[in-house]
Amino acid sequence: MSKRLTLKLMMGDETKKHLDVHEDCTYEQLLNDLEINPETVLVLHEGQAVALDANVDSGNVSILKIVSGG
Amino acid sequence: MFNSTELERYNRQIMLFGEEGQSKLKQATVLVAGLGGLGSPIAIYLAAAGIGKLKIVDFDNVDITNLNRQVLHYEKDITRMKVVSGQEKLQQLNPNIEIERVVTRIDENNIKSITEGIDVIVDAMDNYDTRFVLNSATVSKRIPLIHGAVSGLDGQVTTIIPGKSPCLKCLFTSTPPKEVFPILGTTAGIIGTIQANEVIKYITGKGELLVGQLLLWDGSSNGFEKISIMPNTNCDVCGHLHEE
Repeated sequence: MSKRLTLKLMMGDETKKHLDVHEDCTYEQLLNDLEINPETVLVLHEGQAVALDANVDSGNVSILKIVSGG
Repeated sequence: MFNSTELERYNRQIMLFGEEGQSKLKQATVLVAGLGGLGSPIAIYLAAAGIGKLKIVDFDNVDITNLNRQVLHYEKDITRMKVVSGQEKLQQLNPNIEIERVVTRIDENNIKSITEGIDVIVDAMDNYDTRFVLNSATVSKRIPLIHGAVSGLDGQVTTIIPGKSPCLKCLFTSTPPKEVFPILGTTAGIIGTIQANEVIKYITGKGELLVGQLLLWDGSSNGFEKISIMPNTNCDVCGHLHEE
């Protein structure tokens, strides 16, 4: 079984794509597959921040670059 | 409530929200936490708009590397305390308002006294450790927090109304690392100006706020995007406000 995501990457250039991941894929594994350093991003599922060790849910996932400065 | 000079000074915005709205601004006390890249445009526009009292907080001194973006401070101010330099300019811009300056590094021990009597907190910090201190005070005292952050050509803003929107801890479950970040002055100008705009809208009741929305600015492509953000009912800080 796999789960279907609509992935929105907002890391400077914005890209949106559909992606299938395996049932027990975590957000951390998803970031690794995308070659994204987990420390540099905020991951939201349907607008809600997720724990990186949680299993990916189907639906809308947004990955945002964290900005820290002021 | 207003003398003739004030009525003349604020005439073009009284056209927007009336003397009633201007009066709300005059009666408000706003905390500007940090007087650097974001704090500069925030404080300038809030002073110009006639916020009755601005409490400006920063522990730092002006450094030459600040001057590409921290537009409250000039070359002559290098080595001076930012709050002293800032108060001077803001009072010159608008002598009708009160400025209280506080020289300190905001932390868990002083946040209670710093936020005493504050109507709105504006986050102009450069690190998430201090932002989380502001965030906790926002939730415990039910004071709105206007969050902003910048890096390079990118920035973000959201307005946190406790109980109605996610707080910073709903979004950031761990602390993003502190960094020496690249920054263009215009990025801080754009984001800080939007934060000031949120403050004015909140106080006057004019317009829609960025509540439950994260506004993202990408200066390289001139793109704004708003994404919906949801409270976390398990949030350590504000989860109890979102229980059904």
